[in-house]
Amino acid sequence: MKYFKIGIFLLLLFSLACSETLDFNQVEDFEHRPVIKIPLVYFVLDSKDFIDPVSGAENVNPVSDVSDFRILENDYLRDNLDKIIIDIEGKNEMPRDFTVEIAFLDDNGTIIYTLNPLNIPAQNEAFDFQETIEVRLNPIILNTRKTRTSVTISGAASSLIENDPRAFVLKSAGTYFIATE
Amino acid sequence: MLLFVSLSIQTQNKQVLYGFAENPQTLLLNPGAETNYKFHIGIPFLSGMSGDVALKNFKLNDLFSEDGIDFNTKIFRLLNKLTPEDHLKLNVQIDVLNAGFRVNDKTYISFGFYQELDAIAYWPKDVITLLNEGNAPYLNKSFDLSQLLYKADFAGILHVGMSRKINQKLTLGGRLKVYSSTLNIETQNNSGTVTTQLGTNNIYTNYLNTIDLNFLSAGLVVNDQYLENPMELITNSFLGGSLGVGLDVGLTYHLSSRLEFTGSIIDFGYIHYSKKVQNTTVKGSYTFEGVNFLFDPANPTNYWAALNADFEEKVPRGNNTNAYTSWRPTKVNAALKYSFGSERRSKFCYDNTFKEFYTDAIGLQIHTIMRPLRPQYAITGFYERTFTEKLHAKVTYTVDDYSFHNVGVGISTQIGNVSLFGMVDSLFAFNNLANASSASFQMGLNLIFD
Repeated sequence: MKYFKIGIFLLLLFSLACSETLDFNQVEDFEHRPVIKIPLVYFVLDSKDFIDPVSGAENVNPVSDVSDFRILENDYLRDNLDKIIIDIEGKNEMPRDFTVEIAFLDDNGTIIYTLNPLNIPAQNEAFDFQETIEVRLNPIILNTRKTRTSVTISGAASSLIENDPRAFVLKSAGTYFIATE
Repeated sequence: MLLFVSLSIQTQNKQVLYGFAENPQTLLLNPGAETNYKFHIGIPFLSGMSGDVALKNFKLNDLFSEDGIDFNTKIFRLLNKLTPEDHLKLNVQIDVLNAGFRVNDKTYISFGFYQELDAIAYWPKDVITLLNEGNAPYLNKSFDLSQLLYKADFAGILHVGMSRKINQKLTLGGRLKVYSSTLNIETQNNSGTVTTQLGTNNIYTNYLNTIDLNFLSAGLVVNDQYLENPMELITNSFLGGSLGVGLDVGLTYHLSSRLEFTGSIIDFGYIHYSKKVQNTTVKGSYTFEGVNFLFDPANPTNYWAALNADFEEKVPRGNNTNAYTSWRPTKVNAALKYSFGSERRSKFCYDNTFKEFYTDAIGLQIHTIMRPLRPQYAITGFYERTFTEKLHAKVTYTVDDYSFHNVGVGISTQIGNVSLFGMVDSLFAFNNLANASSASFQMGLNLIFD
């Protein structure tokens, strides 16, 4: 009888095994919101970049360069990108004003988004700029495949000197806000 | 419910079964265990079955309790609480065949075949943090990729062992094992960091420092195709997988008529993974400052292509099918048992001699298992009670990585020639399994012939 009782006790033990009520549907409330910082374009320009090496004349046309920028081909980013903040900073040691235009282009080279132009006055030792792009309001930004930067020099009061060591420096970074729900 | 139980049970430390009631299954935990029968035959697939899962530092109700707390807040708390030493481990073992016979009054041979799934995955806290939150909140933090550490193996184990009574005090035993693994995935000995810092040439600089990652697999991928028929893992486990060898050794030594020491080393061996191997490696260092525009229309640069080529050159990724070797998770057991209570005599039918035993015993066991990050230890105090020659019970109290109050209970009985045992631990967790980090069960059905 004693062993029978032991058996009953063990049976009761297992049959009484229980768990508090759990709600696994809470997983649906999970929000994945990483924020990623990536350095983008940077450059250093000086006076010789604006002087025609043949004629020695000042180049009145903007200098520009372009690069593929294909991280938005990634499906995960395209589906979940919420916001981009573009940060730009730099310094202008040169005695001339500059205008910088940064454009985002699609695969065909068509401009789909342009940052507000940056007007940097002469001898500005530290400038910064920030622009927020809400993907919800500008979904076309997701088609970005290239970026182009154009720099125009202006203000002819002071002539450029070819070997002037002073420079115009620009740095940039993108902060990508991802929101997965 | 069964699945839930198996997901909340503790791994391989079979502290209740170890040294218990001279059960045939104890020979798999100590080949030097004493036996007192002529031969035994396990009921196929039922002779020994055990399962374990443990989640260190995590309980289901941490996340899924109906407590009104925002789920993302609970995730955030959990991610902050977990450390790179926390892990999930799973062990399932099923005895397919188990039998043994006595050669003479001193020697007992046992053999069989069992299948075992053993897995452990450590929590790569830095990698999870980087994926979950990104690098923006963590400027200057070096995310450590060496925390990537997991190992899972499914194998069939063919074994033959012998226990031999050297004298009245000492019994020695050994078991030779041939492993046949049909599935292995593992990554360990990784290194490298990912860091974002304020830059010099640009606002930020991303660094990949001395990355060296190895992801090894055998049995999972063939010709870039994942395994299509998982049943192959089971059907090929009888010598059809990657092969290895191992050894168990053990002893029983009677310090006095009441005091007994037992010890064993289990699964001291390795598997050479050579079948269906597919490995991936990533190695190198890279510094990314962004794209340096040169504004040279005469020599336009394809910056993106140059960046990709430079990255591929400095951080090459590759696949290979190179065979590799991995050690089994070796276990070390030791126990000291002191017997007391009424003295009884058990008849050894095979030679018509008698063995004296006591109705009660207390003792201490230690268990160690070698794991990829570091060995894991457990210490168990136990009380064993023999009600009759055929009915035994054991209660254990174990302190290990998962709990400081793990109580286990086991019962072993023999009805006619049928020997049955069943054990569970984490007994206190049974009133709320959601609040348990671990539990385990072992059970078995054997035919014993005295």
